[in-house]
Parts: sequence; structure tokens; C-alpha cells
Amino acid sequence: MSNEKKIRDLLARMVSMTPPPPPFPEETLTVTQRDEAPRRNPALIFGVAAATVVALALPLFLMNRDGQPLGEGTTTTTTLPETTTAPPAPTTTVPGSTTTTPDTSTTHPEELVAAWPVFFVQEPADDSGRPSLVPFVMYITDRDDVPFALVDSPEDMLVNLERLPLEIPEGFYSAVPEAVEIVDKEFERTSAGLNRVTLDMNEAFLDGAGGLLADFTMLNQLIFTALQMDIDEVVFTVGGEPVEQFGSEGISLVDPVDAASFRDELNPIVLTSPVTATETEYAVYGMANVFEATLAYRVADTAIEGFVTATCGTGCWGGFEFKIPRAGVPAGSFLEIFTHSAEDGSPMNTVRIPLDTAIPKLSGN
Amino acid sequence: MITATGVMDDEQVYRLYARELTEYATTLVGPFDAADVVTESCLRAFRSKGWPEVTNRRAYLYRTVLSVANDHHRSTLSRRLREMRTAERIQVFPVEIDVDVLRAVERLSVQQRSAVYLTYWADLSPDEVAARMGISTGAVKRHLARARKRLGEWLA
Repeated sequence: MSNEKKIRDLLARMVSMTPPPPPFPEETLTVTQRDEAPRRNPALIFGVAAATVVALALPLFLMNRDGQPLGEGTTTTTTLPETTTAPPAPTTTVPGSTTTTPDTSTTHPEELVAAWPVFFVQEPADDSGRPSLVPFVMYITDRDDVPFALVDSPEDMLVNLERLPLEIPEGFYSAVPEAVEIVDKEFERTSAGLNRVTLDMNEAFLDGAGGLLADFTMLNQLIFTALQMDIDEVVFTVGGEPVEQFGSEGISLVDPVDAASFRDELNPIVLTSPVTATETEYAVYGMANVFEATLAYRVADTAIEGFVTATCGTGCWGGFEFKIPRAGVPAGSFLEIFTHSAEDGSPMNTVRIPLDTAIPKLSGN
Repeated sequence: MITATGVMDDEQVYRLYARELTEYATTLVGPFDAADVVTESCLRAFRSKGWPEVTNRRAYLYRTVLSVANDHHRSTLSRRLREMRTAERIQVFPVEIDVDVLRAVERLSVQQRSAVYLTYWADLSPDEVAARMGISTGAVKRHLARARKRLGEWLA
């Protein structure tokens, strides 16, 4: 029997197991009912989705940073608003947000299709080091009318940026070339108890991003973005085969990689979760490998500044988090996180984040 | 089936396609969860803003079923747990379960299952499969090639 006949036989046997069709879902009987339903506030939807995304992503990064496997209890969530009912009100909305304001003139509520934290690259403002990574929540609603396959996961959203109606925050860019595509992806639980995603890339992936540093930046951006929602490690393949030589210098990607694999090729200050905002304060989460684990921060053009200590430093990566008050922070402000030069005390390794991109965080979280 | 305005309402559309969508969903997620996937897909489609303007509702529903099946596939742990309970559920399930077939299909990703089903069962061309899946024709061919590779033992 030919392969085609065998496949048709397999399908016939599969289809023969089809259960009876489910009954018509009665709750969507008429358009009139939908129109009369209380309109869900997209800001609430986004707030709930984004806060949950952050709540899920942060522990993962904190644990990955310490090299510990993730427990089995971690939830995997994708299109949150589809199942969100009566969300509690977020404590705030962010003024001057760069996200698109939904059209309130339509009669149908906007449904969130995907909301993923995607990492973007920023060159240090002071040219003192390597590129940094900062995640921002990117979201797609049904009004954007894009194929779901383009936004199926954070990494899908990243490689399909040029095909999506998304706005990359000012001062950031993607190091992943437009020609790079994810052909297929597969999830598995390894014998070591880790959740692994295998990303089968197209041939363009093998070319890297043009130069060793750009190659590492591209890899880190992909890896950090993929290491969310229950994923502990990433395996890259091309045509189903291991990648023995990647980019200009032939980096081996045969073994699984995670956030620790190439992070030394990044700026020593990296954010690991999107900045969140409550009514009264912003919260910032990241990791750093800086002298004496000491970081400085300030909100440009305000009196807000301070120091924070990472959990490790001077040769090792440690986590850090701090909060800054919202009072006195005008719209359009930038948060700067940096170290001081040992030579003259000037700022180094500066990461500059637009605070308008902060996502609402639910009270109590 | 057609209303006075010449447009089918949601329930009529549902009754027209429910059977084939359930078949498709069975191939994508297995028989136990196919009904849930179809229900969720139709709810998602009927509620979407663009639904009233959709001209090819059948293709739209297929794409939505694929989207929902992808979400379903991502829930790896819960899926595995369900599979562990399969033996118990077989006794009460309305159709006969072919475990060998499920094991063979489980080797394929949801995208690969979709490409195989639409190509070899629905007899669509690569371009038509691509349109229904919302991906490129090249990606369809790659999914098919990889599916054949992963079905190696079955095809041997």
C-alpha cells in the first residue's frame, strides 16, 4: 500500500472516532443579545491579561535565573479574555499609553486574541556596552484580523512583527531578521522534568543577524521571548535537524538553551518582566551582573532616583526589583537604570524604558 | 436553510458545518475533546466583530477550530493527564477508540495534523490548505513532509 493510501487509512480510522457534534451553543442565539450585553472595557481585559501574563512570567524568569526547574503547578495561559468573566477592576489606567485606544463607537466588544510579553533590544544610551533586552506586552485583538498562527505564542509574535499591527516602543528594535520564520514548534516534557519547546526554523535562521554580537542578540531575544508560559528550555532545529552552525561564527545550538546560555553577551542590566503600574507606583523587575550588585535608577527630568541591590553581582547574575512612586512622574517620562563608571562615576550600561508602556497591575497581586 | 434576506443565521450555519468541524477537530485534538473545541470555536467565531461580514464562513470556522486546537495543544500537562485517564473514559465514550491510531496521530503537531487532514481527507490543494490554515503554501508542504517523516513507523 502506498504512503498516501496508508495516510488516508489512518485518517479514516481517526475520523471514525468522531463523536456526535455538540449541540448549538445557545448562549449566542442572536446578535441582538450580544449588542445588549454590558460592554467589557478593553482596558480591563488588557489589564487582566497583561497582569496575569506578568504574574506568570515573572516567577519563571526568577526561577530560570537561578537555574531551578519550574514546578508542575505553573499555569499555561494564552487567550485570557476568552475565558475571563467579570474581571476585578484594575487599580489604575496608564495615562498616555502607547497602546492603541479601542474604537468605542462599535457595538461589539473587542476580544483580545493574544497578549504576550515580547522582548525588544535597546542599545545602551551611553554606548558603554552590549545591547539590552526589555519585554513589553504586545496584544492583538479580533479587530486586528490577523491569522492566529502569527500570534500563537510569544515567539510567533516576535518573528511575525512586520506582519502585525504592533508598535515597537521608541528606542527599541528587533534583532530578528524579517526573513526568519518559525516553521513548526513542538512542546514536550523532558525526562528531567523540564518543559521544552522545539522551534523548527526556516533556513534564513541559520544566517543569523549579521555579525557575532548581532547573532547573540538575536538568539537572546528569541530565547527570552520563548521562555515564557511554562517553558524552561528551547531547542532550535532547521528542517527537523539540530543546528550545528548558526550565524557568522558557527555557534552550535545542538543542545537545549535557556536564559543563562548567552546572557553574558547582553548588557549587564536586563529587564525580565514588563514594568507594571498600580495607582500609586511602578514596579520594575530585572537581572543584572554588575559591580558589587549595585544599580542606580532615576526617572529622567524628575527628582526620583535611588539605588537597588541585585541578589548577586561582580561576576554573577542576580535578580533585582524595585518600585518607584507615580506621583511626580509626568506622562512621557523615561526610567533609566544604570551603573556608575569606576573611573569617573558617569552612568554606564544604561537601560532607558518609557514608563508609558507600563501595564496595569491588579490590586493585591 | 436560508432566511428571507438570503443570509443564514448562526444556528443554521452551525447545523450545516457542525459535523465536518467535529471530524476536523477530532483529527486535531482527538475524540475526547473534539466537541469542546468545536463549541468554543463557534462561540469565538459568532462573537467576533468581523463574523457578519465573513464571506466564506466554512473556511473561517476551520481556521477558528485550528486556533482553538492550538490553544488546546499548548496545555501539555492537562492533555497528558487526560490521556492517562483514557482507559477509564473509553468505557463510557460513544464511539470505539482506536488507541493505535491515536498514538500515531499524537506524534504530529496540530499544524501537521491539520495539513494532513485537509490534504488527504478533504482533498484540498496546497493553496487551499494554506488559505484554510492561514499559513503559506510552502509551510503547508513542509508540514506535510515532516508529518510523513514522523509517521514513519505507521507508513513502514
